[in-house]
Amino acid sequence: MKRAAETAAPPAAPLRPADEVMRLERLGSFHQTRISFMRSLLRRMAREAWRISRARFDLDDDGYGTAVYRVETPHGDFSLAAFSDALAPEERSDRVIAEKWDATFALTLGRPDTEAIERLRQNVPKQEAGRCSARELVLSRANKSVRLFETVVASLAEGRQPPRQALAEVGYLMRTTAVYGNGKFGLADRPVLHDGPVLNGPFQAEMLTVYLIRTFTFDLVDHVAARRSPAGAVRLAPELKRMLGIGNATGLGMAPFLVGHPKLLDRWITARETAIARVRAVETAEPARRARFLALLDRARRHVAAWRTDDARLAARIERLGPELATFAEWVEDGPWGSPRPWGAIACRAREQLSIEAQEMVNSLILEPYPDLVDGLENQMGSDERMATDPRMTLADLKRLIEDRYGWALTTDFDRPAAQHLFWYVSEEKLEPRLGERFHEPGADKEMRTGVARDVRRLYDRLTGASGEMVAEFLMREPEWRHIVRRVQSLADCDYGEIRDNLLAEDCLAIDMLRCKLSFFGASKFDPKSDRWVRITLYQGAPTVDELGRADADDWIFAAPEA
Amino acid sequence: MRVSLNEIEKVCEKAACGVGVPAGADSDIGFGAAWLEARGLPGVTVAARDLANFEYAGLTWRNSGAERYGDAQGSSLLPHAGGLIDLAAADALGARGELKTVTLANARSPLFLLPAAVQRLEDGCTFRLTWDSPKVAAMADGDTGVTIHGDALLSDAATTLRIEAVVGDVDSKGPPSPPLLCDHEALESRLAASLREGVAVDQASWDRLQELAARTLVPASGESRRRGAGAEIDDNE
Repeated sequence: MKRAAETAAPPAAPLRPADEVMRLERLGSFHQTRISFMRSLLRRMAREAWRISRARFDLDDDGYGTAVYRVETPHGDFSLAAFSDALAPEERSDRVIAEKWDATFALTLGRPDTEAIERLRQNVPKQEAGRCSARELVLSRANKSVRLFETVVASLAEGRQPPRQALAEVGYLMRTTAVYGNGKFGLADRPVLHDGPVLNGPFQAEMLTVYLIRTFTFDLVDHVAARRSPAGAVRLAPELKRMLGIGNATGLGMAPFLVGHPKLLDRWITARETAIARVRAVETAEPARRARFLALLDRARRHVAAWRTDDARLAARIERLGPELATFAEWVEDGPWGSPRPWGAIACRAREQLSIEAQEMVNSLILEPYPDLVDGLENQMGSDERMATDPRMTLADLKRLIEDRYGWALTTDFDRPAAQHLFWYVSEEKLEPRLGERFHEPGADKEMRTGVARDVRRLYDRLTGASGEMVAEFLMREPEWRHIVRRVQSLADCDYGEIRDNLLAEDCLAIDMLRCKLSFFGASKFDPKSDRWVRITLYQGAPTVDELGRADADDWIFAAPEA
Repeated sequence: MRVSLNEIEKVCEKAACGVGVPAGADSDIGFGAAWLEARGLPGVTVAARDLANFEYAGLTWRNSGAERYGDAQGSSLLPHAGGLIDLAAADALGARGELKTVTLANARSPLFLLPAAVQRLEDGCTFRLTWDSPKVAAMADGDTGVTIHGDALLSDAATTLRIEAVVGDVDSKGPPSPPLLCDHEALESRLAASLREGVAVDQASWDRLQELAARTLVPASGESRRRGAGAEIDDNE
């Protein structure tokens, strides 16, 4: 395990093998951890005492208008421009092809002047149809939760707090339907942040944007309630704000990202697995750390009890999860603590006796008492993503490399129709990745390069009888192999770069890829609405702006109602 | 129109894919176009021109001692740029310190070999690319960066390209160079400006590339609409 050696400052148990970790079912069971991107961002904001203030808040009685939030960091300022507009119910449909939203947002560098805000006002509400500039980092939009927004405003206007149950059930006042970054629609390119001192980790700008949108939603309900009832309105209570995050509906567009960014995926998973391995190697658990774990296990059980979904597959998992955690909690109370390496014993017991869903929840939990071992790994989750051929490698060595690293891909018989049942494509209508059924729908001739297992298998077959010819010569003669050869060679040292399943198989569940990526964001309350899209909540339980400096600001994993 | 470097890379990659450039070579073209445009060089214009008339043609080869000779038969080198640099690098890496050359006759648009060469600098190779007698000489060196002599970057004429590659420094006794067009410092300065302000691209070329990129898209079918394909139908909850 090369990576374990690189990051082995603290002792670490062996990392789990990729054949165990990189299966879709397990990736689709991941939860938030200490090094999820929302967690690391909020810790940094607290550590560096970032200041967030309202630079402008020009909203009318109904909450429509312009607001600007300023973020002051030790390394420079950022601003979120928010545009709130009236939206008729019939306009609030189908998230991707919609042309209007309740609110639209742009995260910008520095402090935009009046002229810049006006330019954004002309473009940001149009989203994909508008243009941004290299001064803007992120473009986003959100719609109100019709279920909850008016309930909250009406309660506050009447001078009382909204019902806790309603807040807990919905979990957000607004739901984002897209968060764009990295140069899309004219936005700043990734190196603008990547090479700088702040927001330089994966998705940090996007996570900051969502956090500021959450702040805006709190200010919005307070504002509308106060205008509706100037004398009698109350502000939303801080403890209730903390119960609310930002909703998000994520579809297939996110899934191919993990296939298209294998070196980044490797870094993410390596950091997570290294964190688990370090904690598993701890010789004894101090009482305070043990108590912390037991308290969080209790909270996690309440989180699971409040976790609702209509998705049959996940509902069955959750139904099993509750009793599993109850039994596990009984054992943990006095089971492993007298043994050496108690966290290793806990992880081992989980692996032997619990479902994969429960195993990964336990893995998230054992990291929580160990910020000293875990949090530094958040700085190792970026990658230059450079992919390059090794032009002097012989074809015989390339074939051996495939046998060594892609054995999992060589076991599938791709002559079976079920093994190639699906194909991924980009939809002309929505300009987003979609899944088609190869033998029933047109478009397979334009499929995306997500069939890694199949393509590796084909390359392997082509290399039958391979000789000492150099890869560079082979690719000049047969350039159609360039993509897959480069991938295989570039990932030779990346244990966790590939999802070790056939993503074209009839039984492939894209939803598992969505959950994996969203867990690294720090999402919770996964609620699949089909096998192709999932609703989640971001920042539920997280501290508000005023609470970032509190000692317990980082204590929000598996947010749950009080016992 | 001002666009981001990411937009250039993705649109050019998809345009290349849309016209049938082999997988992997299309992403080389995307990278190359963005690398060039970021430094004020005509990546988008050349990509739009060559991809609009793209017809894949392989290269023919004969070897002679330490040199490789090929013939592009008048075709654009855009889809071969990464492969040619890999070939030169492979030869150089196998002959530590010895200069290796690849010569290609009847080649068009060699400009995209420059970003491909830059990508291989990490291997310790140095490259000198010369074409058209030379009207252009471009140097990619891990120590001193990139310099370009001559201004015939947009020429569409078939030319003879010479790639020299060595682990270490290329012998300074190369063919006489035309006047300096830009040095590494100037190119880096342009890159910083591009990241700060975006890149102004030729609108006609950009529109053409987007048309070609659209060939990679799949129209909606009854089945895809029925499956919902991930889109949320009712957002009024």
